Amino acid sequence: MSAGLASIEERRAADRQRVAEYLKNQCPFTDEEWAAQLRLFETAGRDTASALPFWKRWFSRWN
Amino acid sequence: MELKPASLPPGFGQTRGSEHEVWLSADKLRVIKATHPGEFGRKFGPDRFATLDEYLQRIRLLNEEFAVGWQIEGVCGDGRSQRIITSQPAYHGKPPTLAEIRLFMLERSFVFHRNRFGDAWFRKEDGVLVSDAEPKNAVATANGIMPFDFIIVRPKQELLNAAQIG
Repeated sequence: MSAGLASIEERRAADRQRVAEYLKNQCPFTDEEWAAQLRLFETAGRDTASALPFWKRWFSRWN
Repeated sequence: MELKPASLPPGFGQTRGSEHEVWLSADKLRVIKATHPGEFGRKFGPDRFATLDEYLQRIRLLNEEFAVGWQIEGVCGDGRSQRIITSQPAYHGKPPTLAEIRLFMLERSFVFHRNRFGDAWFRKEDGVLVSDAEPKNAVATANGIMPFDFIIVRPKQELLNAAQIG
């Protein structure tokens, strides 16, 4: 394995560890927390180019 | 890969994204995602809609690369009403900034490319390409960024050529 690939694999292992630690300490959402988080992501979604309306998504499929 | 039949878990319809309907599981620890009827998410390239195989490959690659814990629950309906039901850990946090996403990708040896199909990150060492790396598709948690909905693929050379990435 090249040095570049070894470094990538090390990073993947670190990410697996990072997510495992998150899950170990994970708490359930409350309804209020979930509603607030949805609002944050809906706002972020409206600000991005991929947030196309339904008709545009279908139009782009055929054009 | 054979998909087991599944029904839509309770709570369907909380929010609609460009690729999925998304809602919280009954135990409030996981997020349930259902693709829109007859669709399997997006992909990088001139044909923007992924096939079922491409969608399943994306899930596998995203787990391999970033360990996001995306699980396939099953398939609901068939034909033009078919939806793929999946779930992921419910990550507490907020959308990361573009600068935070940029740093996250650079730390993992990806190189940014602006091209005719949109922005993408490519890592030539293993030929992995990530697109849709936007704030709405990741959560900045206390344990760092969780890129739960990035689009990821090992593209063929002809697609890289078309995008002038290489």
